[in-house]
Amino acid sequence: MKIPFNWLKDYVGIGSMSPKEVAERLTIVGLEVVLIEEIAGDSVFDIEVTPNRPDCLSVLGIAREVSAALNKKLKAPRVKAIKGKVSQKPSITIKDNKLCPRYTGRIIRGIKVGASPKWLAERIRAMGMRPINNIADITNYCLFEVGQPTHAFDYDKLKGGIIARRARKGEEMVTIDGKKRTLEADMLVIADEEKSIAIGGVMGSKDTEVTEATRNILFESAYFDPVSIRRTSRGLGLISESSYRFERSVDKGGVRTTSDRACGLIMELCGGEAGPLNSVGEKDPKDVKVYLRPERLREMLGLDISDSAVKKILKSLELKVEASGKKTMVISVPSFRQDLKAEVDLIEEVVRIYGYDKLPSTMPTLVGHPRRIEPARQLRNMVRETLASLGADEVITYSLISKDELKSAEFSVGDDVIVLKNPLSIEQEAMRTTLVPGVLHTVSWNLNRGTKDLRIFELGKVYFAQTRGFREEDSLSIAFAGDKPYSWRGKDEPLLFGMKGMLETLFEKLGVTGVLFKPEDLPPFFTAVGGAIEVSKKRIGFLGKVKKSVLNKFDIKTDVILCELSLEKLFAHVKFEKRFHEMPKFPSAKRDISIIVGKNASYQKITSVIEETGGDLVASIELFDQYFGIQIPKGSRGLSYSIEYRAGNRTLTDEEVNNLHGRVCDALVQQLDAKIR
Amino acid sequence: MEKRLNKIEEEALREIEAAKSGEELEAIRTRYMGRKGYFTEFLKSMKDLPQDQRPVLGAKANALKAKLTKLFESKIKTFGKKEGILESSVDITMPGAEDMRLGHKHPITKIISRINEIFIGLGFKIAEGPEIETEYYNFEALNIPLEHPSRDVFDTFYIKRPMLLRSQTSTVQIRVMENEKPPLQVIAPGKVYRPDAVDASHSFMFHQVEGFMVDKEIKFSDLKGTLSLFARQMFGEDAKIRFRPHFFPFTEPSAEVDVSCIMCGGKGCRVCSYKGWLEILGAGMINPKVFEAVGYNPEKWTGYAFGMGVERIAMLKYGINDIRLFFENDLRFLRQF
Ligand SMILES: [Zn+2]
Repeated sequence: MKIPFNWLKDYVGIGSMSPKEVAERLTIVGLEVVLIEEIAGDSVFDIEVTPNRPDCLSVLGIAREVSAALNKKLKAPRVKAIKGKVSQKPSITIKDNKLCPRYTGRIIRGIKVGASPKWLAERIRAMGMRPINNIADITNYCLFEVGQPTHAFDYDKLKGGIIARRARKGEEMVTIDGKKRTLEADMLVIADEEKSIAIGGVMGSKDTEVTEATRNILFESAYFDPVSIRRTSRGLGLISESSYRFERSVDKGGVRTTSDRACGLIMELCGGEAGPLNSVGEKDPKDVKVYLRPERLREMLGLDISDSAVKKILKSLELKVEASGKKTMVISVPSFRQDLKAEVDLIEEVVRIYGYDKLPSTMPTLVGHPRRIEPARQLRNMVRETLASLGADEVITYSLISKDELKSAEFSVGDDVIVLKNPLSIEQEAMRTTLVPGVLHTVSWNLNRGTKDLRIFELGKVYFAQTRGFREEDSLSIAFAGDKPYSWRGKDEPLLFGMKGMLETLFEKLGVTGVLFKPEDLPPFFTAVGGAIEVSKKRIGFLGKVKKSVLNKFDIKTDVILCELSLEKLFAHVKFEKRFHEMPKFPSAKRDISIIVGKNASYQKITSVIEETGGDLVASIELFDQYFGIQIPKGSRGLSYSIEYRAGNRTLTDEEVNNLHGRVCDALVQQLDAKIR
Repeated sequence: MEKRLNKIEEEALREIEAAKSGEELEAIRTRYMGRKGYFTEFLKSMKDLPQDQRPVLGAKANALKAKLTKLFESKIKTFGKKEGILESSVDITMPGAEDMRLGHKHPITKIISRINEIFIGLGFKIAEGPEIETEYYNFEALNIPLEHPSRDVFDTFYIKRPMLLRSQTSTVQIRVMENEKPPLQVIAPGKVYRPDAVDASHSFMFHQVEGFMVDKEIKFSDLKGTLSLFARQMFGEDAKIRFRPHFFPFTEPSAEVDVSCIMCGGKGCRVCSYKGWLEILGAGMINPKVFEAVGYNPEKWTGYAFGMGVERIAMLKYGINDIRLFFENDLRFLRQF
């Protein structure tokens, strides 16, 4: 809201205070002056008015605040009831008293439309508007002065009386701004007997606009329903100074007085004679009574303030202290302060004017919840901590992505994808069902900016629509790209085994055991290199190398290894508590074995054959070499293991160990077709 | 030629055997293996040999080189570390192994953790709520009428009425109060969404931390005390706060809270637009209407609530000037924290 300082000074005794000093004081009481502009020798405040204070959308409203904040006298303009010589009253019918609770009109005859006097034109300019003619300028002047929008129709262009009714669906009107508007059935129009002449409270029609030729006018001052005005204004995409105030609710007490104020100015500046006011609908409102317990005020604020100081502040805000009992004050709130409905509202008024800066700083008696962190939260903390300590950098990408990005990563876009009704753009129309597109996008961004070694992770929610309701769950994705050697002995797929190592460390940290990597059921965006991750036979995610065709879509030119797993599913297998296991009491014996195996014998299978055959006596299995070469048939490989045998209750004899190891060798030969070297 | 090689071997072995100190050994090494040493000279002279003799003699020479090198190494160890001249050939100013590099948690994660720690230290507990919410939790229960200008600042992404993406973490306040009885001291961190076009200071997705306390006799001055303490722990012991009256539908009285500019200490600078203060959060006393919505008796309980933007705090604390950097995830940015 723009407030010219010179105008403000008309209504409150500011004295010699500078605009800056007044602005600071206003900011302190909650009306933040965001800017002071110098316009034609005046300082114009730009004040941020919160939606609960429609009364402050006027110079007079701000003057009231200044008066209370500076403890200076308010000098509101005196408004006299108009006694004109015209006897005719306009006919007014309200057809919908919900949308239009009160409508007043009066006829003014014999006016002369022309340019406004200099003082008026200057005030209009200070508000950032162009003067139009004396009638239009006076309506605007009153709107800015007291906050009540009014409207003048060219009376000779009306056919019969005024009707406040709902628009007919599809009804059309050209508004003063020259645009043709198509109306809806829930919008309020002001009409004569033939046509609508205004979109009530929003804008008048071009047809009935006051022009140089106008001699007689019908002057409207009314109260329109805020919700209806808001819908209409939004529906038409038409926000006017008038609709802005009506949708915030104007002062019902200002409807009649503003008509008097404006008509007085019209008769003074444009000549003419006014007729009597026809007021239809609600009468002038009465003050509202609100109770205030000063003791409650002191308790709630933690502020030691006397009853008399409280009363003084309330009075400075033009609130009347009607009665003051021992415990309760009865406060009479005038209609322009619609925001003051309950005791807390008055409490805020008192502390606001008293000064938030004078409020002491105290500490509450703290309840103290036991320092327990929710397990799900603890899991997230541990995952972030562990991955960062292993050299991965955390990223946070948008939860809103495009359907195309999902498709690019070869994720299906089915009914389970949540789509927004009002997205900012199609780039952010869907909620992610996977972290993969966001992570790939980040990989691309960084590789294309020269990063050579990239290890990133994101831990965030993914979202699904279900037959009933929605599901949000935590997901984890890790991506590796670049030239960092990470591998089992630096050979095949160093990045893949690097990530696997990272996951194994993470699982160990989380106490998750029984993890299997299965080279099957890979999501479609992977090459054949990769696998599903299972814990206790439950699928929790996958790990693998991303297909070239997918990488191309994300503008990535190097290999990317990626995994995604459900933290929700992992959670069931996490063991936060550690338990001590005694160190072995008896010595172990090691035996080495070198075998040649074919394609089908995976490391995982060999390990399980050794474990199953040796049972509890197998203490550890260490792979120390993998080799290919001339002695090894094509498609096969040589593997060398060191197996450690130990019993928990005695020292194994050489013979026992040899027998056991022999059985293990036999099992490998029989079950996996291995050749012992 | 072969005899010459045998002789070099014989003499070298004898001399190494007789060496009495590291210096002496190093001199011997230079004499044989140095750039102009006997052995090096021998290798050079091999180019004059006939083609067919070269491989055999070459293999022998290489074997001898390996043997001598090993001998020098094992002999030098017998003189102890202090005299270990050979070790000095290591350039310890070379860069350390890159594998020892730590990864980085996202700055937003770090700030949320810091905020959590501060309030956990005061006995607050952490609560969370869904990001996909209903109009009831996001608006009505918080005393925000569905069709009122006070909703304008809470523009919202809708899925399908009444489902929406929460535009504030105050939703968690309602959810906790519906399920638990006072006294309560809770903070709720999380993501929120608003349809704001992206620029240096706006993002359609960001993070908030909501905090609230409900008990008998919670006072407005307690809010000031709690937030002063928070500001000092977050921004340093010199940080001061200032309350300015404001309007939020879910609190009454309400305040916008400024912290003294962390760049200039309040004197005024470009960061604070020469005001000396930076807005960091919104707060107030929980509106009795909110208590009524969750079935608390507003005569019995009072409480305060506050909400802060995590990105805003991170930007002030780290001196970051563009909110987009948080979601661009450029490693040159992320690795600074
Ligand atoms: Zn500053």
